[in-house]
Amino acid sequence: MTNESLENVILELRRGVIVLAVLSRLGEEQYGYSLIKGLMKHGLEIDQGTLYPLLRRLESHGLLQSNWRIEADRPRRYYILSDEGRALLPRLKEEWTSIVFMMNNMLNIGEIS
Amino acid sequence: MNLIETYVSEVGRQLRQKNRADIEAEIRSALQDMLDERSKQTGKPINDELIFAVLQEYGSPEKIAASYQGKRFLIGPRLFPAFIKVIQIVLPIMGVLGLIGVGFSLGRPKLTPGIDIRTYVQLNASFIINTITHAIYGFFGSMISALGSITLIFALLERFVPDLKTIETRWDAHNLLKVSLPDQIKSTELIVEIFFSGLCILLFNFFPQIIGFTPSLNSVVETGNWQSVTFIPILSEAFLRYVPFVTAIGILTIVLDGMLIQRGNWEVWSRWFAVIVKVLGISIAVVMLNGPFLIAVSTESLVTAGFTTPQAGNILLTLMNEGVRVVLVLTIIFGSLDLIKMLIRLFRENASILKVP
Repeated sequence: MTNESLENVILELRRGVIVLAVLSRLGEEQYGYSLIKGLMKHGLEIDQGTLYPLLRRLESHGLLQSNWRIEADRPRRYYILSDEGRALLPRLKEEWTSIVFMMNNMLNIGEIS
Repeated sequence: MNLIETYVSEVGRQLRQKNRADIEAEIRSALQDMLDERSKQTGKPINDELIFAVLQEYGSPEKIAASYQGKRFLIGPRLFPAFIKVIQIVLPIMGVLGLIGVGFSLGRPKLTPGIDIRTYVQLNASFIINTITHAIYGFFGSMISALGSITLIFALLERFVPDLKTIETRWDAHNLLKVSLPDQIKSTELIVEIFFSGLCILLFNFFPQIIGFTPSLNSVVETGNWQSVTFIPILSEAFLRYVPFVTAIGILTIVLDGMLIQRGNWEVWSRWFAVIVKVLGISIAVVMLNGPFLIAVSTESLVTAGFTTPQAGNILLTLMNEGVRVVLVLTIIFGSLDLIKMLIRLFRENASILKVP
């Protein structure tokens, strides 16, 4: 496997966790750039071209709500979990735990065989 | 900051109208956050170098626009600007060619110089109706066919041409310097327009008699007898009756151009002003096209001035009159296309007023 292919696979893997990562950080209001910085602190790098469209999609699915506010003479869009998003988050966490468990098992079995 | 606006506008023009203003505001805000942070980190003020670096990192406008368009399209955001550009070039050319074709067909019956439009129409009424009907059918047929072919080609390109990687590797933020914002004025063009408008006003009002030509110049050069130079003014009385209207349009153009140069940008009021000037210009061209001939030269005066035969004079006269008509028709066609573009831009601007506090 070439480096480029490896990078693509890793990118795909990370892409799968972005939705949950973003939702998990939006229990409190945040604007896009602060969210990126927060995710980066936890080791998850995400570019703006991925984050903003994702936020819009999640909002259109009803999981987030947003509002514009003027801060330091500049409009900023703040996002926060909607009621639906808050209700969904624990179920997604459960799902994530089961995926991790399943994958750990699968990978261990793969290594043994 | 102009670079940011150019970048945002480049992304925005590839987005759907519905969310464009909102996404543009979000990108603008995100870029500003990035710039502020980079400026703090480096301890340097926000300058063009920093803006270029941030834009380079943010990604090409095509990629960013594509990231907002999640659904599959027959022609996606990557190719849509090129598709529109091709349509904008091909369809007007076909329209003009179609009109020229109609003109040639209508001109097939022998045109007698000096004959007025009404007599021509009376003599060839059924022929004209047939020609125009066929031309309209043919015109729409070929338009639909061309539109279909272009759409098919672009749909195939969208389906089979590899992903955005090729575009991304070519992305260079410095190319933004070559892009002009839609509202930005082009001073040189305006100055040239002011000069020619002023020149036309001056000539038509004070020196209409000097607009003409000297058919005898060849023989003068051959014989060296400069005393025999004959000058024929060409503007008819009918044209001179239009001069006040042409002058009014010229003055309005100069006023508009002067104010645009002073303000530096197009605004909603100046776009409406330009629409009014354009409508007046097209209207006067339509009136001229349907009115008497604008050229006052007679075959006799050409023969007197040194043309060899009345037939040669006749041909020249026909060419001059038809030439003026072609110019008027082209003015009306291109003016109308321009007017449509101006109105579309105005309505788009009205529709995209930002809904942020």
